[in-house]
Amino acid sequence: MSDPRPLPLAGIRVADFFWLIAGPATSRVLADCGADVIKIESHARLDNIRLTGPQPSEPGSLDTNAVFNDVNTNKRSVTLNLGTPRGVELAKEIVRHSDIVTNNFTGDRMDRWGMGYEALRAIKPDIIMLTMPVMGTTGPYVRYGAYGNGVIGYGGMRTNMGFPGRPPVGIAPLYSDFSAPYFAVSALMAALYHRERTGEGQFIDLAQMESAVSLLGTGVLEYTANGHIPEPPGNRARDYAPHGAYPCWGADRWCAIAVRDDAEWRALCAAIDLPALADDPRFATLADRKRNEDELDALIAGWTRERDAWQITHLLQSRGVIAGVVEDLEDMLIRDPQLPVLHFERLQREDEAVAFTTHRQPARFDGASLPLRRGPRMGEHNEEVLTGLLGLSHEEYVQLLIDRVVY
Amino acid sequence: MSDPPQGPLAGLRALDLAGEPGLFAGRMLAELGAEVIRVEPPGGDAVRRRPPFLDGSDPPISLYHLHFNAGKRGLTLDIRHPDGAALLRRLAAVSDIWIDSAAPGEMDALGLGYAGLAVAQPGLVYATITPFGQEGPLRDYRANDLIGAAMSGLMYLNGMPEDPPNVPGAEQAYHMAALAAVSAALVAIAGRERDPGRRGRRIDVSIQEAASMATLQTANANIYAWHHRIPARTGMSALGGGRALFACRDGKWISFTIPVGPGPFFGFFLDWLAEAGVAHALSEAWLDPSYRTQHSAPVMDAIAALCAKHDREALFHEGQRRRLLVMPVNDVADLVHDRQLRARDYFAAVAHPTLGRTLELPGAAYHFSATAAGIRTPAPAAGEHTDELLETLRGVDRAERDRLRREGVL
Repeated sequence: MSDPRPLPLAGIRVADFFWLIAGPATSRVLADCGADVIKIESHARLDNIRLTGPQPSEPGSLDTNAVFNDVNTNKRSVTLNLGTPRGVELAKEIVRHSDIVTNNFTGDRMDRWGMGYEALRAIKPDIIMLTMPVMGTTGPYVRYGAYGNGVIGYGGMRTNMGFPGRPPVGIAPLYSDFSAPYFAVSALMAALYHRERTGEGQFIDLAQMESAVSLLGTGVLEYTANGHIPEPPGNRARDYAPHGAYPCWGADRWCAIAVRDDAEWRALCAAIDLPALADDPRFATLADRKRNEDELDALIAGWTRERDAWQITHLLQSRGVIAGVVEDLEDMLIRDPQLPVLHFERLQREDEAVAFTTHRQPARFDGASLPLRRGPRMGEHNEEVLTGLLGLSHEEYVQLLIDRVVY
Repeated sequence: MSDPPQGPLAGLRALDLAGEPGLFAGRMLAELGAEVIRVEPPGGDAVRRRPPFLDGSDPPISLYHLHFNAGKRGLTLDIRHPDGAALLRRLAAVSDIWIDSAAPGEMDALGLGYAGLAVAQPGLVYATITPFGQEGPLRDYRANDLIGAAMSGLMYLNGMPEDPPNVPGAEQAYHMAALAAVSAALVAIAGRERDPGRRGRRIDVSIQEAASMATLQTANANIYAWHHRIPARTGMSALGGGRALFACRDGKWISFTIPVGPGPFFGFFLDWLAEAGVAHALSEAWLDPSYRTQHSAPVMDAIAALCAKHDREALFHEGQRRRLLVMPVNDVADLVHDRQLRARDYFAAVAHPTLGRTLELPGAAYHFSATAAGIRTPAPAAGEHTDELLETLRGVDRAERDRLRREGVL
């Protein structure tokens, strides 16, 4: 037996100044892939996400909220008070031992600490630094701030969906917090590839709102090339019919069904015991079905309404029709045939009563899920990082605690 | 004249065999400077026939193709023909990344599975995007973007409570799958560069799992485990309670994030409402976080009154000047004319010689200090680079190419 291969980013170290959600979700990917991510935080300037989010019981603690723990697996936490010169010195020492530095502060926070790109490059010439605030690091709105619910609106993800005449509610809040990280990881890995080939590090400026605009598909071209703003499509698609969420038995239960070609249409008609419908001229071709889509949707809904969403899914899939439950959280955690086992994992430490549920990374490497370790308690790794990585003596470490530099 | 600056992935070659779910992965690799070879069947694939279309084009030109295949090179090859599959194996032997979205087992049946390709090119990173992953009881179920959004939990939470769940716009389940695949592939590439054995990896992405990442549902799983609550569609409600969306005087919409918790921000907010003359119903009591959580209606009424008095643009800038998280609800026209995006040179003006036009496309969402990023070339014509690529990469000469063309392989 040979040893299992090391994780892909084993040996990479990240000095991680991220806070809130989009940033930590980015460095979580790196940590899950094997990088040593050192989260640098402080009681003097709390990562507010430690305060904001569901707790197992009230009042809860900085270490137990669900959102924090969902985006910080596999990291180490060091608390350094960057309001003190010594705290900044120690943070720079961590940078000197790192390959990547990350932050998502709006404005010049890192510069004011003396840790802008040029300053850090002087310490570690091939450092890769990522700054990913909402608006990026240049432009007239560079100081403007938002959470993910504002970013999706700015980025066009509220107006490109929904039913006509309804308020532009858009996609679930915080979508950008969970999509921007994959742009950021890709950019970081491209920069790391470049560094491995050339020895050259660099600065990466990523605007979270631009990553939302990059997810609008053909929306931008429809305006720049055709000169019009596409209508929100509801649950329909231009080259499918039927296509939508159909009501099922039970409260707020829905099944999505999508039919693209005539063979799938005939398969659907047979599956729902209405084979004659396949010969109905109102629905014979995609163009016919699009023309009579309201009638079509009413017919399908008449069949789905008294049936269970999962039974519909399994029946239609077995007949070659694309269908699936509109899953709520209980579906995802219990009823789905594979998400509860393959995607979710419960993380519990021996010394804690509470278990955290989180997701695995959606990419498997060589058939295996990446191993997960629960997110760090505040300052959990202070001593091992400062006396280990930075080589301070135990006495020096204790003095830093007394001086509230390690805080 | 110096050469134009190269992207960070200069020197990296990717074979893009993906269908709709994975097209965005190859587009990002192209933005980042990789040579991305789009492999399609002779005559071009179905992506080229997908709506929406360029107005007035005949035969219709797919904007879907122009957007998602921008920056790629085009090669046509019948991978179902043994000679085509053999040629593709030779190309994979000189490539770094492979991306496909074929059904589980389909590429293996064509002799194009990972195990075989990795023998000739151990450094290959082979990424597959499938609806439910390569393993598991649902592996043979089919899905499009709608089903991916539905079964990932991404769809259930969108929309007004009284409406059916809303599918996200512009195929977000596909986008999340492509993002997961391209980021993981690049993780594997970066790891390979540091591995003395320079070994690649096989990457397996499930659309369902990737899309499920993009919700709060994975954190919400704890709400279910701890408190047995199931989140529902909240419509216009804000995360911390109250309302998030308001109509402005000019009919446009704006979002407000009401400051929660202690700190000065809610005070900034009350000052604004008072100066605007819409805070009659509000008192100092609202500075207390717990009080305002329980009495949010008068605050919401005051914001609604404020918004009704002003245009969106003015509210946006005034709110941000006051350090409040106020953001416009933009449409694509707003974005194309947006000062911030323009100042950052976000859009890519790409000449499309066959159309005789330059079209503006979404550009790269990242700027690098030492390397370039972005889209420079239009989506390729079907097979536009077949001859050049086969000649330069594998020395397939003209006589051989002519034979393969006669047999319908190219």
